[in-house]
Amino acid sequence: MAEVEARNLSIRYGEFTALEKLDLTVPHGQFLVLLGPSGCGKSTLLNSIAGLQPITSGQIWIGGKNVTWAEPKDRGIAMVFQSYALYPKMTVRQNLSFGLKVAGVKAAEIAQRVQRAAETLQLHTMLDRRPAELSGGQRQRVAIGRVLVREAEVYLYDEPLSNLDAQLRVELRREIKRLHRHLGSTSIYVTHDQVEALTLADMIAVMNKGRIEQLGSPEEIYERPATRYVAAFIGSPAMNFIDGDIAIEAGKPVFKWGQASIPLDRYGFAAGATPGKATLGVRPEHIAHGEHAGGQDFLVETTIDLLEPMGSDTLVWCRTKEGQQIGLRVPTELRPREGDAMPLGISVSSASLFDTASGLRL
Amino acid sequence: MSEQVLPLAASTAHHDGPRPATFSWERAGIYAFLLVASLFFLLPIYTMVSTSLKTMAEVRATNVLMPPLAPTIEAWGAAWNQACTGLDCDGVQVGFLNSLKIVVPVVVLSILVGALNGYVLSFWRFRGANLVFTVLMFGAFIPLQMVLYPLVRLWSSLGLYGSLPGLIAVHVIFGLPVVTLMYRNFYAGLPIEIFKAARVDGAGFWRIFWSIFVPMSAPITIVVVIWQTTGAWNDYILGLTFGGRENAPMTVQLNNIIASQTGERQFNVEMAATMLTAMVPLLVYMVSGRWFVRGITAGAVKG
Repeated sequence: MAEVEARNLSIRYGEFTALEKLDLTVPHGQFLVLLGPSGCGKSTLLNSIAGLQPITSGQIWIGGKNVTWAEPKDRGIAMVFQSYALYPKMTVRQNLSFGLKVAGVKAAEIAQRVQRAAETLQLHTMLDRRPAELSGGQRQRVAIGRVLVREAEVYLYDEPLSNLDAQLRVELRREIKRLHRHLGSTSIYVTHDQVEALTLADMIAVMNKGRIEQLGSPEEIYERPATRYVAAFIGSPAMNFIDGDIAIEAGKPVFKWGQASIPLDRYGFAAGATPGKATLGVRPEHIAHGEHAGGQDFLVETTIDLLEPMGSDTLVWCRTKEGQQIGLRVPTELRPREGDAMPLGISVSSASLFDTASGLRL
Repeated sequence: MSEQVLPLAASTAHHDGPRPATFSWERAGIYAFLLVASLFFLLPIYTMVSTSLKTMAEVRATNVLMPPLAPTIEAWGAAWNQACTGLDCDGVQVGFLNSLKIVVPVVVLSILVGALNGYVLSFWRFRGANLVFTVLMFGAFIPLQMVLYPLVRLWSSLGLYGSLPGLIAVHVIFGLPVVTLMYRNFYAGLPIEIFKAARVDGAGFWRIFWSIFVPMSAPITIVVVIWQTTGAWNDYILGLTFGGRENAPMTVQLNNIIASQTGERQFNVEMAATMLTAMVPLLVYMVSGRWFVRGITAGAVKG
């Protein structure tokens, strides 16, 4: 059993605070993705769990043991790095066995484990090659293999797919997921790519400026983002944000947007509606158009401003008379044209409302 | 507008394939400069080689720019094992051996200590590492003359003055700042993730150094070998000051040969002795110049 825990963890470099009093628990066997833009502290957090990053205060616990002061090798972890970090002068076989050799594992056992990892990752034909003779995808496979042979309890991934081209990224992503299912060990995975996060994770921690903005399942993060920051970070194209006010009309909450007022009785408020400045967030894929536009909570008249064809779908950027831009996805076979009128239907039950000042979900 | 564009379009219509070469004054200037520069450097070398291949009779009879009429390597033989420094007439071979005894240990020790220093300063960042590095770099810019006398006193009180180990130690110490800088910059150019991966793999300080980074250090080690070989071989002042009579390197001996001669100056032997002394650095450059450039630029591109 290897639960990973950060307790009240702070990391500062002089004036700069990388992590601020952070608490995080990853239950055994879970796949946690740390998601955020560069500089949000996600890699720092991962490195401190690995023991590669000195911490300022707080504790790290792995498998019920306090490993705050333990060496990386004594933490029961294995790690995959963005730049593969293979030993360039060693063959694939030597790369895979190095850690085991250092640990004093018997040669026969090493050979067996290397063979098993190589077969899992289809590396057995290139065991005697040097990293320079491998393609990017093969190199990252070797890096994953080096992690496999350690048979660790916790796997740490530091943006392992960022250096690969799009197609390989998708392939290896699937392999990593399959591997995690197969091994059943705890995994922590750092990325800035929301698709990787959504596809791989059991749990996503969205990070911002050294804090965790939201920790939850991919569905929760996508459907009920806790802050406007999370809402904007997840989803492609990004969520549409409409600034307005919440008011109570005839005892019922409404969202006032210019002349319009959108009824909010079907919106699931977290703690009742209070009047004030608010931002309505609607995902492009939740906006109804054409014949479905009428049946929603609110109908808005727009004209098509710009089209971005993406194969099966086309991103349609519309503009209201007031100049508010709204993006949505439309099946390409509907053949939208720039300049056409486009009535849009917005349903508040799938939308999100944020306090404009604090950015918190209402 | 369109009248101006049309003739241009017409005149470029047949342009196809690589652009033909055209004469330019810039290019002519570059070649002229290169020619003059090569003459400037080649002329002294030519004079040395041609004089060393003449007999003394011919040296006396001919102009310094004239090629040898009957080339002979007699003077080279004389320089190697007969030329006199004071009363000893054993040629520059004595100095050659002395220089070898100095240069080989200096290069080996410089590599070991420099690589280790660079490794620590790049990866095992201890508190005050930057200060240590700054102080070390400061050492690179201290004029030798400033520390010469104190060092002589220190060495003589330690019993190292005038001994081979003492001379080697001085060379290694004075070379250390630059060699450390070379290794540090080389290691700083490697992805730190390799170091992290090795630590996760459980390797310790020495294991990571010997198994991971030493095998990767070939490009910069070649640079250091060239740098320290030429530096220690061409050195004069340290050898003169710390070597004593016994360990005088080739440069010191060459100077003694040329300075101590009485009677007629044997230009041919002196030229040959000088060529012999310059031979080692010259060979090192010729053989490894390509590697030198490659090593200097190795950090710039990912291997």
